[in-house]
Amino acid sequence: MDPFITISHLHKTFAPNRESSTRALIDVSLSIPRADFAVISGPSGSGKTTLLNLLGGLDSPSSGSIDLGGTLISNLTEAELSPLRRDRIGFVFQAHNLIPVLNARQNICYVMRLQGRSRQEQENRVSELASTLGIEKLLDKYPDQLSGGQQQRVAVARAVASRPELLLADEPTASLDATNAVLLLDLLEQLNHNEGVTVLISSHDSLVINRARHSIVLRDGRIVRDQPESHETP
Amino acid sequence: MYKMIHHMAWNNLGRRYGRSLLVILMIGASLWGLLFMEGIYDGMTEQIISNTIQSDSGDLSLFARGSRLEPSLKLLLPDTLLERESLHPGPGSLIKSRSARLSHTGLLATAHAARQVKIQGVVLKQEIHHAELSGKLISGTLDFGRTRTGAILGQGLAEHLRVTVGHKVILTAQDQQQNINSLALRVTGIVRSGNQQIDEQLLYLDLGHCREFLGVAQGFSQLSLILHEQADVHLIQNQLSLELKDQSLDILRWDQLSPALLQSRQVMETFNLICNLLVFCVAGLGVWGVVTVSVLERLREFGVMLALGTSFLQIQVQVLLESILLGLGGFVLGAGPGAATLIWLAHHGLDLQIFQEGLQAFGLDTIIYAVIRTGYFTTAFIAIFLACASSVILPLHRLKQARPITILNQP
Repeated sequence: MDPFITISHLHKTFAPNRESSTRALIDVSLSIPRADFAVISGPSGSGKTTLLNLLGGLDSPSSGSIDLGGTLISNLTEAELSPLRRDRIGFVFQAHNLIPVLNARQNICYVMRLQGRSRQEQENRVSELASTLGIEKLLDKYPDQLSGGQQQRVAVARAVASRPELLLADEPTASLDATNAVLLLDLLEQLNHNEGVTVLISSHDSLVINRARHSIVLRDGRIVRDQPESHETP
Repeated sequence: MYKMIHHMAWNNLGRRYGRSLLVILMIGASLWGLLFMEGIYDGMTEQIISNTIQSDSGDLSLFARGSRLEPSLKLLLPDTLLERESLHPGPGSLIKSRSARLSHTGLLATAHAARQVKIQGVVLKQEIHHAELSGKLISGTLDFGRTRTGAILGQGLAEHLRVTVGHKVILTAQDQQQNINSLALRVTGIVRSGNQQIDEQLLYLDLGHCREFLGVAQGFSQLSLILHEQADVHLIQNQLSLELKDQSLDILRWDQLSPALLQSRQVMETFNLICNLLVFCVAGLGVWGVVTVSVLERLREFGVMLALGTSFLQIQVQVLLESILLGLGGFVLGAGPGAATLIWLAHHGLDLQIFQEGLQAFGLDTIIYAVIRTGYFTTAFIAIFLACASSVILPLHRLKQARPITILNQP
């Protein structure tokens, strides 16, 4: 199968010209096929979030390349990355990061509105996702009226509402209890299975790692294991 | 999308409504103060100009050529000039009123004091209408008496001579034949023209009586015209110059006769501009402070928006809209009460009786009527709009410098 994401010799160093410079990623090369359900794990500071940010076009590598479905995103400017993030990538952040002045429905529609989708299409998609995620009754509530688990479900709905090709989730279960974490993972698997979204999760939560079809382990900025189509044992 | 941006901008202002309200109040109060000052100061200037136009220059005045600079009883306008259709006020005419004046200098004396005066021989009925003397009468009546030996004095002149209504005064002047003549007059009225310089020399006499006294068979020194619309003054001046080009006349506008008054109007316009600049600064600083804090405390939120694919332009529009909504709120809050205050002051006036002496020294009445001009509001609106627009430049510049991930990593 042709890889959807190809990462070649990726390096990322923070504050490279200072004494306190940190090498977050060292010569990382990786291939992820389309519709994969991959989990990047590793201890804190191993470079998981950095890799995810680079894949999402939120940061730029020090060297190396990232090819996302035929687009070399490591070479794009911020102005070029903006529509790429809008149209092809969905983000689930660790801290939910819903827009506080928009209610749940408006948060879910946000990216679709950026894309200029019709109101009818937005409504249909919100109904569909709200039903899948069990948040029908929460749609008119604002983020500060929602619990952490509810906010995370709305955040997932927002991330997938525009049908991105790639869903990046950074420690999505970190602020959830076990029950909500399992529910969230079920949802991500369901979206991956039903909508063919490539899911890439960074986590050191064993609940998440156990669900991986493709397990990537990072340590000190290097890939120490890249095991497609596998299930980790706790 | 822009509907959502508007919605977000509006909700963001509501998130910190106390702060937003404070800025709106600050802009509103500054604007109200500005409008009040502009209206009253312009009212003062216009009052001085209006008083001078009524009592002296008219909107337009006709003189025999050269008589303005070197006054002489031999350089007079002929009575036949008054018969010209184009110089008649009335229905269909652009001229509202006119007054023919025979002017000369003389010496007015009592047993204790004497003062140089500017004799104005007038047809009283015309002058009352033209100079709106009824509203300027302080004491006595607007009447020269049966024998036409009455005199109406300016307030300043009466004070210098220490005379009141009923007192006798002696007028001495050189007539057309260079003879020195004297005339006993009784003060019948005292007026305040609103222009101190005029008031200190003003002496109204009956035109016929004045002619006899000065040995002038016919003619007059000045024909003062007041127009329905001051804006027509150039048009009428040009028309009359063409029509009367063979008459050897000087046809001068009020601003040519009293350039200092025009300068005072220009000074007031500069003052208004400075006031607008102050409002610009107040609004700019207020909105800048709020927008800066608002942007900096929402950096993470903007980072999320950028990460989701919002373009920087859309964020710019949202921040700019928030700033402009604050400015608009302030404008409405200031312009509404400001307009109401000016309308009230334009009708009822501002009573500054306690500053009577000072105001009179500047040729002002104690009641100042405000002026309302559309320009006050448009200039203030533009100043506030510019202040709001420029206040977002620095915060947005700071936002632009950071990559989404840097912003997202903000605590």
